[in-house]
Amino acid sequence: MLCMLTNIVGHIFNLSFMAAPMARSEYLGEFEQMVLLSVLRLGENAYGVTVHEEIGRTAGREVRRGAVYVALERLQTKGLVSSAFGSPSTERGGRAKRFYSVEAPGRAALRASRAALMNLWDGVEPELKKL
Amino acid sequence: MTWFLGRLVGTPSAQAIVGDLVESAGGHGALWRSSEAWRVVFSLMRYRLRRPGRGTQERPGPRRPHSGRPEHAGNSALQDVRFALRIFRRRPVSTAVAILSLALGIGANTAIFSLLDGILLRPLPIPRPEEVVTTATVFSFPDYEDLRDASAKQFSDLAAWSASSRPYSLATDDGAWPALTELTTGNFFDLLDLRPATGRFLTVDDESRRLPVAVLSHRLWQSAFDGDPLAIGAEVQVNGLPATIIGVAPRGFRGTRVNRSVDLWMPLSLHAQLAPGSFGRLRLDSRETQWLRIMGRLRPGVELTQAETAMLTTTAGLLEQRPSPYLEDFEGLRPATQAAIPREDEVRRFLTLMIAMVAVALLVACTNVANVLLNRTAERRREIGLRMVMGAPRGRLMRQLFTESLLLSLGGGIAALFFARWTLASVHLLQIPGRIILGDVPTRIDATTLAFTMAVAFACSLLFGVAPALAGTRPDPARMINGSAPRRGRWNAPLALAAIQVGLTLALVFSGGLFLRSLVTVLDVPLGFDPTDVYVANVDIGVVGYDNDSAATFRREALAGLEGLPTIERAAWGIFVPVQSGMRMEAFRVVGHELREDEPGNVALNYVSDGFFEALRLPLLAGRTFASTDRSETAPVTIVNEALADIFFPAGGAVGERLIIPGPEGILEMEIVGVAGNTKRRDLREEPSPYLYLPLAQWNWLVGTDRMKIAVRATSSAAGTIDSMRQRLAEVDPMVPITALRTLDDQLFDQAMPQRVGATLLGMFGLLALVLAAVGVYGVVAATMSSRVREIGIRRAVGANDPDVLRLVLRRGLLPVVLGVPLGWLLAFAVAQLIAGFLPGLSPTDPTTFVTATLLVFFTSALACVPPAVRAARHDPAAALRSD
Repeated sequence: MLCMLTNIVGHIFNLSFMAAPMARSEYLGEFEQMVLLSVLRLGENAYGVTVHEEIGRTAGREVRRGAVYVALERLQTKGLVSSAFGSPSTERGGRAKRFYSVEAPGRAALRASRAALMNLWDGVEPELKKL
Repeated sequence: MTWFLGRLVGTPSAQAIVGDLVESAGGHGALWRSSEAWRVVFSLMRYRLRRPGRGTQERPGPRRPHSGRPEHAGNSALQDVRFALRIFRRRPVSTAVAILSLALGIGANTAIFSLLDGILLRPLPIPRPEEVVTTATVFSFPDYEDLRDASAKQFSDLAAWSASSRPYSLATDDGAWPALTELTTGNFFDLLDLRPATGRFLTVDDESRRLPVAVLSHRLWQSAFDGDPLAIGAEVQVNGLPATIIGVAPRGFRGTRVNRSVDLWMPLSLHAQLAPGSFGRLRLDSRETQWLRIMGRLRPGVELTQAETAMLTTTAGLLEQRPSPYLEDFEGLRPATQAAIPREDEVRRFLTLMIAMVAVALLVACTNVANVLLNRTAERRREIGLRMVMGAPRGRLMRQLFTESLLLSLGGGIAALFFARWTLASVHLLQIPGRIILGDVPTRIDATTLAFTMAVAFACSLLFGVAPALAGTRPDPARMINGSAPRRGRWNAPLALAAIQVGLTLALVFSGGLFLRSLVTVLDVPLGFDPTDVYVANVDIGVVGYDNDSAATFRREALAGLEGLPTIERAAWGIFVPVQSGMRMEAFRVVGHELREDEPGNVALNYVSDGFFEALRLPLLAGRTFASTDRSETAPVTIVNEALADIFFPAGGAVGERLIIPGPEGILEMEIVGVAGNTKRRDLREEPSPYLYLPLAQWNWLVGTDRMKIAVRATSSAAGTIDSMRQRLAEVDPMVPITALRTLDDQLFDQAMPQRVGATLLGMFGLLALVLAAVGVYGVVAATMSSRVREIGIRRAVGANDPDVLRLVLRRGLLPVVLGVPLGWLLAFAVAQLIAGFLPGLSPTDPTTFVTATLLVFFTSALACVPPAVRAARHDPAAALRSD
């Protein structure tokens, strides 16, 4: 019974890791940008906890932890980030950290997003001041 | 939580997330309670479940009815699961009802099973308990040593212990805790083969060197030290003796009896320093005092009877040297697991009854879910028919339906674990036959319980998944697609299920009602005094080094202190307070009266301070109560109860007569100064019997430092009375342990424990079943009505009015009730035979309960028909006729 349960739920969970990464470049959402930038800023030390903290600290915005994991997973499926497991530590109950790093498509997507936004911002400043 | 992500889904990525959560939470234990952690799980699950199907198929429906090529088995199972989840999302209410029914049904089963597991299946939570045997009689310490040395061939070890009959006081810097204590030989824990939760256990060396060391129970460690590992090595005082904590027993080990929760183990050699009162004067090296119980672990391959023979030989040898009533009584050995359960028969019967009841409740829940599924399958007939036409094999469709019920029961099973935890937490104060307090039973939702729950859940899915799967896929696609009603077989499943449900519910409601009625009867018994606003506490000054004189002073000062409180009207001491356990018997004679055959020669007695009758409002029928003028130097007096006066002085005039009772130095004669009303002494069902009250002031030399009860009448049920009482008593002496400080009403309520437990549990299950049955009847009626919309439309078109329609609906809706009630009667009679033993004085076929239960079930079911009836009556006939 338990075995069956494990299998079924295991299927549901595993599926996302079996899916082949899609390299298609896509426009990034605001939150995805924040996550990607945080991973970049953190360098070697980017994993769930630090990414969540970094967004909260630099963006001054309280975000849900679950949203961070979902975003990281989505980014990985898109091939924008990759991850690797570190070595287990006792303070985490003997569990490894999953470190993330931004891949080349991720950097490209960030640049594209920035360029798009810069173009859009171009010449808007005077309009803003009017209000 | 960890279980959810970590163990269940052992993927490294899930582990990493759990690690992250642990790291941010800064601790492991609180994780599953953290709402944030749950939110993470839900977001991830939602994301992962939604993603694969997103964009291709928004509405539920077969994604690939039949692809033409063999599907990969794992994928198709996954497809079934995803499809089922979509169906559930489309019908959230009925899904919730089904899962909730199951959660309650399975949860109640899990809770009762874990109790049964803790009491009957694992009464002694130690490795290989079947090897451990114990004696029913007691031995002296030298006898124990002889037995140990003589039976080394049969036993790998033989230990002796003595249990304190009252709690010792364990004082730390933070306060004093009452702790039932076992004084044991050093090999006790080795013999049990337990591993300490932390620290170490007692050793033979501790015992022989008389080291003042103590092992705590896991529970006491938690309450007195907050589970701090630094408790090891802490200095405490046990009954005033400085001692060191050396270890903690594993969680769940509470001594060798399920009805006694031992909190402290110390070396037997310390008993003279530790044990209060006469017990402390027992000599370890004397053969005259027999007071130790013996427990041994049989060597592998040795039978109980072989060990018994060897022991009997040894005791026979000892008996030749000197006579001893205890050694003569020695009847042999019995398994320790058996000795661990007091009144095993009754306990077994009670738990069997409970498990039978929860099984019935679960059956009701299952029939309910089966009905929900049947109705749902009926609604989906068109879809299923389409899939069949498209070439889906029947097996594949059945698997789909079966997967749905499997998922439902899994959801129910998981929710049931939480419900079971809650149930266990809410019944922890209850006490069942054998004086087993449920909170003391080591019930954990552990692997065994989990396995049980999952097995039940699986059985449920088989039970209620098969019927809908069979019915739903009966091959008749043409009728299915054009929406005609299914061809009726001889077997109308929904109706039969609802009838069974009503029957089972009636049996449950009836049993709950029996217990409830018995409870009311018991609580209605006149007590002979007024327990309202009376607070009672146990005060044990013997354990903190008082002598007879200082004890009398303490009692005087305590009374003065308590009566100084504005909320307290009167305070008094007594060895006993009515309707509590314990009594003392003494031989007695009325002076100048020849005792006849039919007259009692023994009488129960109680030593009370003056103010006792006033505090309890115990009526005085003649003479006077005790007064402060009754002192040790004045003439001895006594007060008798009405029952005694009626037997020996039927013509009245008991006051002024004289009684004698034996004292340690000859006969004691005293004058009867009053006659008090009869009270219940120990049991609410007992008949009045002779009783003597003796003034404490004249008997202090005998009562000395014994544990006494203090009874206090408050002016009203003032909220702070318990706290101010504690405070006042602490002002007199903070070291004196005050236990069981409660209102007398509460304690009285305990007297009705078996009835109370039965009424609570069965009442809960009965109510649960009633709700489930109502939902079931509603489901049947609603389904029938929706399939008869056109018929009702035609009837209304040809002139049927609202009452006609209502009658039509009710006739259909009450059919399961009419069929179910006789079934319920049969079941109720059977159940009543099971229950009868627990409810003396109440006929198991009590007509009032019988009629009430029947009416309750009948009207609840009838009520469930009303909403569909109203809906049918309000239906626009034209619309009904147009509907397909």
